[in-house]
Amino acid sequence: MKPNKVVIIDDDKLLRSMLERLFEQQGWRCGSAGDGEEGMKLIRSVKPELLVLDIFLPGKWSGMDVLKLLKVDKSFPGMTVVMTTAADPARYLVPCREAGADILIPKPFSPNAFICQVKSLLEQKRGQRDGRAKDFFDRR
Amino acid sequence: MEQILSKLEVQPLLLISGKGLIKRSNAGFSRVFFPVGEGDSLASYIHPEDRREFQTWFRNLNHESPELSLVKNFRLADKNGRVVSAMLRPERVSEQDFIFWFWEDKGINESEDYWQTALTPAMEAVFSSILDGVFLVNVEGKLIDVNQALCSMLGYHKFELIGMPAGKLFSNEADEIQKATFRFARIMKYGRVQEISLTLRDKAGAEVEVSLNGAVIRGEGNQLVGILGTVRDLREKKALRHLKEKTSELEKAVGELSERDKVKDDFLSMVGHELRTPLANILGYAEFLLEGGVNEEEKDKFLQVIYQESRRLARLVNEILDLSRMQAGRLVYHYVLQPMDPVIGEAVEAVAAEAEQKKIRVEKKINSGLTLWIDRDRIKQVAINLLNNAIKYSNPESEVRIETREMDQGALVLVEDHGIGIAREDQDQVFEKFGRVEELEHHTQGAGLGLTIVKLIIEDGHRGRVWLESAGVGKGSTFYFWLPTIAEK
Repeated sequence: MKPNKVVIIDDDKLLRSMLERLFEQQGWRCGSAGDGEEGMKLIRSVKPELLVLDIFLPGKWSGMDVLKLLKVDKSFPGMTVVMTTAADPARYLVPCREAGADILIPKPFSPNAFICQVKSLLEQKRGQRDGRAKDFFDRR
Repeated sequence: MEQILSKLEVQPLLLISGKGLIKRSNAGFSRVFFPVGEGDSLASYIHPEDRREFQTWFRNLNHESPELSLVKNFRLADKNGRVVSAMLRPERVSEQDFIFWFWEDKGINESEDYWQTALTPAMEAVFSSILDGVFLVNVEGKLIDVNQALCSMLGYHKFELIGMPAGKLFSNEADEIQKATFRFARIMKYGRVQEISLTLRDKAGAEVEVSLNGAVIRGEGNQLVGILGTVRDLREKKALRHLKEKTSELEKAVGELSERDKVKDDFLSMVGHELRTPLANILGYAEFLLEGGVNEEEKDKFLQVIYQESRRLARLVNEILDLSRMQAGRLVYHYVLQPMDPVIGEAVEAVAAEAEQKKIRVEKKINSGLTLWIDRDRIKQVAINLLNNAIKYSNPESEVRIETREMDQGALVLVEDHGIGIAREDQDQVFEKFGRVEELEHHTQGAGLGLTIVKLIIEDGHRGRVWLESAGVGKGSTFYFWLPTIAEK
């Protein structure tokens, strides 16, 4: 069975490795990038089901910029977007929601709690779409 | 005619020719008024202000106008400038001559009479409803009426003010009295004054700055009966202006404070971000380790991450504490006169391990030979910060150079790397603590507070200077700091 694909965009290399490991354990295929521009290229080529996007990114595009670009683009209608930030989440909650993100998970987070949150989000979305719940994560 | 004149010694009389010359005067006139020279023109004894009117009246008299026998009122003035109000009644005694019957005009009494009839109830109502202080002064210079506003302004009761010489309202200072006298003289002369600034004294003796408007009041016979003055309290206006100034100052301060508040908010937000980032890694990798199922190689790697990130966290916490102490002015510097080079040498040793890890060669030329007043630990901290940055942003196996030399009566220290460099537009902000949040979204992780602290230690702590040169991104950078030989202790 074809594994689900996730793209992780975060400028913290260690955190990227941590998330990659986490998703790989769940049987996902991972791609990761350290800034917005590289990340956009990756999203376009991989067309992932899930995007984990940090808000603070170095260079031209911040995570918010990437999110807005994706919304305008409309090429990824089913993609679930998980935003993360080490900044004050209250400041970004509304902007993220408005720009089309599904959830904002503040750093630091427990990897297990993170994966649980993402799982239930995906199930919920899947349930809404198909009219029934389906667990994406039991496929490995 | 002669008989009349001599008979009526008591009644002041003058025999006046048709040309207006004094032919004779009697003792009564000299006694009540003043001696006049026979042959003089009567007009020359009339007060200059009344003279024109007198001449017109006298011409009419010669043409036998019907006003002939009416009593007229003129002010007489002798050669010494004494002024007496007089009433006169002309009587034609021959073809050419007149006898002028004189009575002393008790001007004051008359002006009082005038006021008794002039102040109608309507006038009184106007008087009392004016918010400015209003006063009436008679020709004697006494206050004959004041309104409530003036009483309140000066703290007197109305009965205290009525009858008081107007001069008492003014300051005791000689020049103020002189000024007030001058003002009143002007009112007399021009008939009115406007917006004259004066200082009055209230009952307690405190100064009251006012603006005075005044006008003379003349009776039906055009005689001066008094002066009407209105005074506006400038203190209130001043207080209002002061209040306005204060308000705008406050508004400005509020603006500055909220700006500072925003900067502080942004700073705290950024500090939070910087603290949470290593924590996210520590938490994540520690959880991997706790869950088990990790091989030995991974275990080592994860522990390394946790250690490294904990150190990063500790460094950041120290930087934040340093910075807050410095900004609160609580950081105490311990200045000691000492050689500069060994301090820099120690800093190089302190970063040796980091440099080795990235296989970066630190080339040093530390031989300025200068002795300076410095806080050893803080200057070492500066050098370490700059070296750490140089190593952090350099490619592995490159070279970092540190040099000390004498320059402009001080010591110059430079740290040069061949690393990522700094874009021109960013060079100004490098020493600032994190910028605005909007910009922070694009910030490069781990910029930290090191350079802000460097700037504070060098510029605030040692009266030195710190700056950088970089040809641009990818072209490396050189950081300089300079300390004066005689630094302020």
